[in-house]
Amino acid sequence: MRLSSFAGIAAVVVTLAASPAVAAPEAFAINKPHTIVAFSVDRLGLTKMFGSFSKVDGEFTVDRDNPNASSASLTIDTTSIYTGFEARDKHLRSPDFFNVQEFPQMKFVSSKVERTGEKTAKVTGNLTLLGVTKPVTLDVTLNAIKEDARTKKNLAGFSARGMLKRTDFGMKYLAGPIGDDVTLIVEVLGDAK
Amino acid sequence: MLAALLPLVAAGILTGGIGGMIGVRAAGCAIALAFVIAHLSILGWPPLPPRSSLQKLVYIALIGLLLGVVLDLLIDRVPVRTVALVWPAVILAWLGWQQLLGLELLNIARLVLLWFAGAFVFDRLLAHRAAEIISPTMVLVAGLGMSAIALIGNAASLSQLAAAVAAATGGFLVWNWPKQRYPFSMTALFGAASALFGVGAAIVLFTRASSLALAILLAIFAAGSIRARLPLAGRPVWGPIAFGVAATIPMLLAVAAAFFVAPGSTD
Repeated sequence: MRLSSFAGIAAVVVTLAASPAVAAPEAFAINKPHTIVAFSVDRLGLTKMFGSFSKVDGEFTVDRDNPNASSASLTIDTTSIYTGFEARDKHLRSPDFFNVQEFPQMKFVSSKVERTGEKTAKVTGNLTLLGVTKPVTLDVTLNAIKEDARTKKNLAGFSARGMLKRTDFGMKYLAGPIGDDVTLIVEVLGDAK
Repeated sequence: MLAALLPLVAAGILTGGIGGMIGVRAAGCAIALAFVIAHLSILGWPPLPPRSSLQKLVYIALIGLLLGVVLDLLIDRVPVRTVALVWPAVILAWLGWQQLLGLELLNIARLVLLWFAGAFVFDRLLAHRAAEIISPTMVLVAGLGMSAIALIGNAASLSQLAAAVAAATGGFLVWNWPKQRYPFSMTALFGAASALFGVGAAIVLFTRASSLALAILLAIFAAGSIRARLPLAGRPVWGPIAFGVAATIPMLLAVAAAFFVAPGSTD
């Protein structure tokens, strides 16, 4: 019994040693000044209103050999909302919309990555907004991974687009005049750790 | 406009309907029910358990209403003043549990001051409950002031909800002036005061609206003590109007403070 156990372990060790080298997933930290999470939403059926969050933090991993094993997590400071009009920003921070004093953060944590092309993937994850967690899928494009000439470390740039319904997260105020469908526009730069 | 008209009409219909069918003490539940109807029209039905303070306000009004019904049924067997002291603390613990757990001195101090304010409001409403329509008039005037202060502080939905408390109380008052038909029972008092205090606490805890202005509004509840010295006091038709006018003075001062003085409303 003991001999057969030893033989099994030895076989696993030999198999692992003989398998080709697999590159470890690369980990990146969000480069805050060059990362933006923006959104657009219909207003009164007349125009699209654009806004963004200037304070975004997080990290992601890129597995070049197995892209589906890549992952990402973003934390967005909802107090940093900016739409170019201070009175509107104050209203968006109030309990009518982002309720920033009660829910100062919004979080996205990926749960599944499906490669759809050479540089594209569908990234599904859980978005937590106003205390409600719901799945959201983003269409992500890996723009490039390049070496930073100054630091000699890799930089990774992504663009992501997605859609969510704000009422799914309990943001129901003025649903109708202000659209329910919110388009997400995310541009992420990461510094290799 | 809908926020004011709907609860006014709903409370008017419910007061007469429930008062006629169930009994005069039950008529006052119209205030909390009309507030809930207004909340649903503005923000939809909240999930259970509710996640945000806005969603909790519906349940605060309904639990306050149930508490009032129980107190009306057991009025001689329950220490009402103790309940009126504890209930605002429960409301605050539910709305502000994050601040409580954060253990930051400023947040704890704010919650303690809010508790004092809530206990004061409930105490004053209880003290003047039997005097004409003094207590519901205080709720009405305070609701109007709170609505204006929240609007100045960019909290439109809370402004609408405060207006809904005022309008719902107005719907109840329509039946009680000049002749009082339905008493401001425990059911009425705890339903209305829970909604009013819940909205006020949410404004203080989660918006940039002026806390100073809201503190000035508390003077409305102190005005009950001077009602006997007001001109026309004791006259069934003009007495309540004279009191309403007197209570409006601190309300106007509070709104002016929100507009001109308090930094939270303008920065």
